[in-house]
Amino acid sequence: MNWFHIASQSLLNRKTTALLTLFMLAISISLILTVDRIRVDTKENFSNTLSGTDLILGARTGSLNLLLYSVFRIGNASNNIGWASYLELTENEAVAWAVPISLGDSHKGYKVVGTTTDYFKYYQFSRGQSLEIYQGKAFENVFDVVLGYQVAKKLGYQLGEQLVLSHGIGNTSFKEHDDKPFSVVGILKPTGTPVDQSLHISLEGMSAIHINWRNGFEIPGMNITAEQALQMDLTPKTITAALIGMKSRIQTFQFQRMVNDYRNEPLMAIIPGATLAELWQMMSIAEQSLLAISAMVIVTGLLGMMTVILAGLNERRREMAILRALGCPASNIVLLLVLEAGFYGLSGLLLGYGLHLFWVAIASNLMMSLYGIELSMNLPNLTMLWVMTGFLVSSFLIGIVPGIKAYRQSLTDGLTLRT
Amino acid sequence: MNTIVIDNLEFSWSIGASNLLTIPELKVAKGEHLFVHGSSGTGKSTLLNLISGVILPDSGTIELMGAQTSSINQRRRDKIRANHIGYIFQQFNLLPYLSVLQNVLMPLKFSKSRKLNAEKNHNSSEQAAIHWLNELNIPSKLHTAPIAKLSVGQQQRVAAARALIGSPDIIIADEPTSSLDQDNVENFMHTLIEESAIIDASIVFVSHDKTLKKYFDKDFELRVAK
Ligand SMILES: Nc1ncnc2c1ncn2[C@@H]1O[C@H](COP(=O)(O)OP(=O)(O)OP(=O)(O)O)[C@@H](O)[C@H]1O
Ligand SMILES: [Mg+2]
Repeated sequence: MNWFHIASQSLLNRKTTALLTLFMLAISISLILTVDRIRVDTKENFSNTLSGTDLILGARTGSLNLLLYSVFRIGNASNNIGWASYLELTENEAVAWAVPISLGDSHKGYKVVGTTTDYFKYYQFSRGQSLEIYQGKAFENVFDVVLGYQVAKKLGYQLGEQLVLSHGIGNTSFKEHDDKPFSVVGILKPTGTPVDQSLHISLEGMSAIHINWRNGFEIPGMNITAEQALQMDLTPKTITAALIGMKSRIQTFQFQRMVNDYRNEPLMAIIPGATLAELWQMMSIAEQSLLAISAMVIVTGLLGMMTVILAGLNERRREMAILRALGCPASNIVLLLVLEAGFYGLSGLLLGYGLHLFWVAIASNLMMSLYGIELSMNLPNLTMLWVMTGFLVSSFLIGIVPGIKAYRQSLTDGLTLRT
Repeated sequence: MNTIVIDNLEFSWSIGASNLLTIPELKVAKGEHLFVHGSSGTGKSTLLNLISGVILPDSGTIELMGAQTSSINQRRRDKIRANHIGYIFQQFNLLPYLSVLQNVLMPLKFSKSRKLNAEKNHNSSEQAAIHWLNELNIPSKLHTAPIAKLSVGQQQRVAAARALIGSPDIIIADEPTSSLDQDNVENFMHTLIEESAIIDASIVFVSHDKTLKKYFDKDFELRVAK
């Protein structure tokens, strides 16, 4: 039976209040850890998604919008690029490579990317890593599809499987392209980017499934079978965006200006890194305020704990008087309350960390399906370790306030028990 | 030898107020049993606080086991209280979150000398606690019970066991029988006097009930201050 035992037994005696206080602290600490985890992982994920692409070409819109829909599959394109304009622009001397991207269809909530096999060659993520085939091969035929890793995993698809794409984007699809099924010829290795959440088909495949469609609507009564479609001209009419690599970095700005001044249709080219920086800039206020709010929640939690302990002191006058009568030094009364506060702090921290992992596990699924971002269960970063240490130390220090009050109270009360 | 010596003591709770207590002289010899009586508000509990060294006299001195408590620091006064005094309150003596046995063991936590005494006389602290609980007729099935399971009389007897463990030199009791019925009072008084005699402890027993005077060697009356 030591001081820790007495402090914990005394606390156990007030377990409803103690548990509630503990939860209050745990929730406050788990909030800041989770907010920070989402912040850090989102940033890292975004930064790692695209590498080696100098420019993104698209219809004129907000640069952020173009970046989000072309690379992160967030949001939708409002306009397309004419195939002829694309060809004309990318014929330019300065362009080393160009990969067209055509979006707009989906399969069970996963987005379909129409592109060329150059995509597998030139698309790079996370500091210059290229896509790799995990099983099978790249698409060759019109009705071939290559799956991102998560698509195959989540939907349980194997090579050779037949699947039907849906027109439009969303889980509950509007219209299926069920007359022209695709067969799985390849599955990509995991990348931790939106590529994992995408299905890749050829531009010709994209044209083929839309051959009886005009302006987003199926032409009534027009039925063209898959076999018939193969005989037709499947050259795309439009694409959504294009990833472009320049021969030299210096020509990037020049080419960008050229695109922006292009007369035949309103187009734009963005530098992904610069646009991402713009995004962070925009986000930083939100980021800072979220962190500030979380920090305030922690402060509120600690103040709440102090209030709970202070409010409890009156009921514990007898306990203190008994301890004093037994010869307990007044300084140990302070210790008792510091221990109690510290106990709240430590167990609040541990429980809060557990709660944080629980939130991450829940949010991870959501973030994965909404944005293709996987949250990690990594240890908190240095800043968060400081926050946690600060929290723990403050919880002990805060115990001094009720400690001193109890000390004073025990001196004025003496050994007289009034209740 | 005297366990308590009070000399020219004056005390008032607030500065400038007239003295609540004025005691020219009061001595308690080792093993002597003193009965302090007086009507409500005469300062009986205040006197016990002074003797215990929880509060200090405005003037005069109090000697406890030869040490002048008014001239030493608070920490040492706490130490002297832990080592030499067993304290029994009017009621609600026990910590509700500890078992009966743990409550009885508490004084040994604060005093090494009482712990050594207990171990010397009864082999171990636990055995000492069990011994005193048995002496005070607490059935052994209650030893590990939470104190909420005890009757008021039983609680007071457990408090007495706690005061007696480790053989302190002084037992201080502040109206410990006022919440007991007549039979229980007799029983409690007899055991307390007998057991204190066994360990040769002085008793300072406070009550406004003058009928209890018969149990004591000596009595001291507090009167309303003029
Ligand atoms: N901690 C305290 N602070 C201030 N005044 C006090 C304190 N304790 C007691 N008093 C005052 O001192 C006076 C004597 O109180 P005390 O409790 O010593 O009387 P008592 O003789 O024990 O009375 P009772 O028989 O009712 O217990 C009372 O007027 C009381 O208000
Ligand atoms: Mg009193």
